[in-house]
Amino acid sequence: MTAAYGDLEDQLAERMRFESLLLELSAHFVGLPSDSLDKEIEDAQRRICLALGLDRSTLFQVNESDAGIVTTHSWARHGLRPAPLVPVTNLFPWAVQRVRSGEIFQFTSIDDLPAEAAADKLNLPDFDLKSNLTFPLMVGGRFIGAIAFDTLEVEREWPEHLVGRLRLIAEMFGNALARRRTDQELRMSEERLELATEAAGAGLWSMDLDTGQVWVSAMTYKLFPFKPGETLTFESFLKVIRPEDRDEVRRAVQRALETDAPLMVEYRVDLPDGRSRWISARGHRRCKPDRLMGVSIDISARKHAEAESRRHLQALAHFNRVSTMGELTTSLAHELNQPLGAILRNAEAAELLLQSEVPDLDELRAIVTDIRHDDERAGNVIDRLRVLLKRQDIEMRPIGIARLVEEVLSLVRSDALDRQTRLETDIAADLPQVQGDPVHLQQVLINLIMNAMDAMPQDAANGDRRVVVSARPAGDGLIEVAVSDTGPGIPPGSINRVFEPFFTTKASGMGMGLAISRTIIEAHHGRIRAENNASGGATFAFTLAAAAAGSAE
Amino acid sequence: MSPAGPVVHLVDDDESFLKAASRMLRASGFTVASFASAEALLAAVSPETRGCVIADLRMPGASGLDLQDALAKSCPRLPVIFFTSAGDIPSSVRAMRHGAEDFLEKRAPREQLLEAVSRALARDALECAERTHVQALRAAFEALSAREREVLEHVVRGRLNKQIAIDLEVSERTVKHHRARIAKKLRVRSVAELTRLWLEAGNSVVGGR
Repeated sequence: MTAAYGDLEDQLAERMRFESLLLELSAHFVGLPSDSLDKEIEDAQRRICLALGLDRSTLFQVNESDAGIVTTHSWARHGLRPAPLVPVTNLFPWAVQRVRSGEIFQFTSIDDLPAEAAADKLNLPDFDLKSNLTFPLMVGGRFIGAIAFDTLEVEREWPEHLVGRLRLIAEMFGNALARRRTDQELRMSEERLELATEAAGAGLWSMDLDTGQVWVSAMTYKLFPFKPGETLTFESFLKVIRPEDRDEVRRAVQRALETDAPLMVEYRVDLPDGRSRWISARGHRRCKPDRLMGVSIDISARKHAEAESRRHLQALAHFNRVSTMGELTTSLAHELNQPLGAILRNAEAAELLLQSEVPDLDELRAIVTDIRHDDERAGNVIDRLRVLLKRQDIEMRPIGIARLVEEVLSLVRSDALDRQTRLETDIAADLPQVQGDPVHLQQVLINLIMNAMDAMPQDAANGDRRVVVSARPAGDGLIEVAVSDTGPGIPPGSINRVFEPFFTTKASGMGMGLAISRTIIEAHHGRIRAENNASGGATFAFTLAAAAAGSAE
Repeated sequence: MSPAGPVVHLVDDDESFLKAASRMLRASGFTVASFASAEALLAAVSPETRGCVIADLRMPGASGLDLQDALAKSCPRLPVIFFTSAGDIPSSVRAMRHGAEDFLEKRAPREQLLEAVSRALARDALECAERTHVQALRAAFEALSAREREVLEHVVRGRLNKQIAIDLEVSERTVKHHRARIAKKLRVRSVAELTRLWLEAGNSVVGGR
């Protein structure tokens, strides 16, 4: 447009108006909620066109499903036709290609278009276009659509400054659209997630770290006794968690927030009707917005099953212990008769000494000391017996293998003598302690040793009846304990079955000893195996993990 | 080294019980020697050992029964008492069958234990006395002359002087003379007494002539 001075002033005024419009629109669009976006886009298109004397503005967006370009918004001046809301990829291939690669596309006259744009030229007249300026909408380097400005009646030029300003508009639109798409995508993926987690009985939650508020999915209300519509915070959760478990939950959340490690915690929720349920929560810290979000599921069934099987193991192990103790009564009687017999004889000796005119006080003192010593000895046997017969859960702590083996041997020594069997040990020096429950591990050793002795019948054929208990490091922080015998070995067909419940080659006995032993070892996260020795006889060996604070014995 | 009187030999692998039982028996007036194993005892006894043995049936290494077998060979006359555990019936029976003097529990009342020991020592003393007696008798019979021996063998078989004179081709008077000398040497006053001594010395009156 050529301008007289008056026109220049008008131009300046017009420029200022346009710029303030731009600013206003920009500010407006930045904080716009996604729902009102469509209406606002059309409104903005109208105001811009009016301010610039353009006839039409059309917005195109990439169709997510087929990556094609679709016309989504179009405003045209009164009396003029807006662009039809159709896919345009195939209508304007050349233009689309240009814009897709981030170029601003423009022409003053259709005839300006090059030969490659033949297809476009064919279709453009349908759109009544005279001149066109199209901006690509790129967000984060990604092409998400385009915005075009047209004249439909007269051709016009597109001066630099105009393109520059309209470019700002394009960016503004682009951002608003991208944000809406992200919101939509997020909402859709949230919906999908919610469906999936509901099916799994899992509740979703997301705690905003700035506001402290927690969003939860519908399922979560089924897991926790919250009132629908209640504003939830971390405290709301803590209130329904059982008091004993609260500290652990607090600690776990703290750890997840401080170290970015995933949140993993199990706790109990007390319900108003007196019932309670076990919940397992897993989550991660996420940014933008800063939040901790995750999933909680009801694991009450699993916990019940675990408790049930633990009780079961306890009962079986206890029964096995008691019956084994029954087999050892002769040993135990012998163990007790020694100290008790000594006490009796000592007391009798003391009585006799006291009958003399001048009793030998030194001798009497020695007798009293010996009596105390034997009383302690007897007490130890009783204590050991009591501990072994107690019904108890597996309690892991660091224990020394050498001492464990020694205690077991003191229990079975008498029996071995009876059966004319030699008991030998081969414990490696400086063996690290293992993590385990002494009562249950002793039970395993007793089972294995008694089995070994049972395997070697006392007939003339087998003169060398020997049981060797050994312990040595087995690499990877493991200790291997083994019991071997010089009997006939395990029949080859049975090696794989020896640990099965009720499997036995003995005439008496239930066949539970090895099955129980295996359960105990597995509860210690170890492995037990059986094999025949090349030199004859069988070996049963199990591995245990060394205790964390590797302290040698 | 043999102590003057009979010795109670205690054998037990349990140090504490060994000490206590030893004390009690000593305080009761017995002479006691204690051993921590069957092997140790066997090394210290001989056929001349006087007294008795008290051993624990259950011991590592050579057991009580092993000890019994070994003693039966080396010192067959030494009485053996066993300490057994309640319920250990098979071993106890075997021990008795093989000639054990007695078996007791370790915690048996004092009277029972002392009584068993006294009985064992008495038996040992009796056997000892018998042995000595037999040895003396044998010596006495050895002291007879060959001829006197011949006559003696006939007399204890109930033959009359007449018959003996014919068998030995001597006069009856010679036979009577020998008989008087035998009676004097052996200090017997009757044929019955003579025969008894002859039998006690382990001889036979069957067969012969």
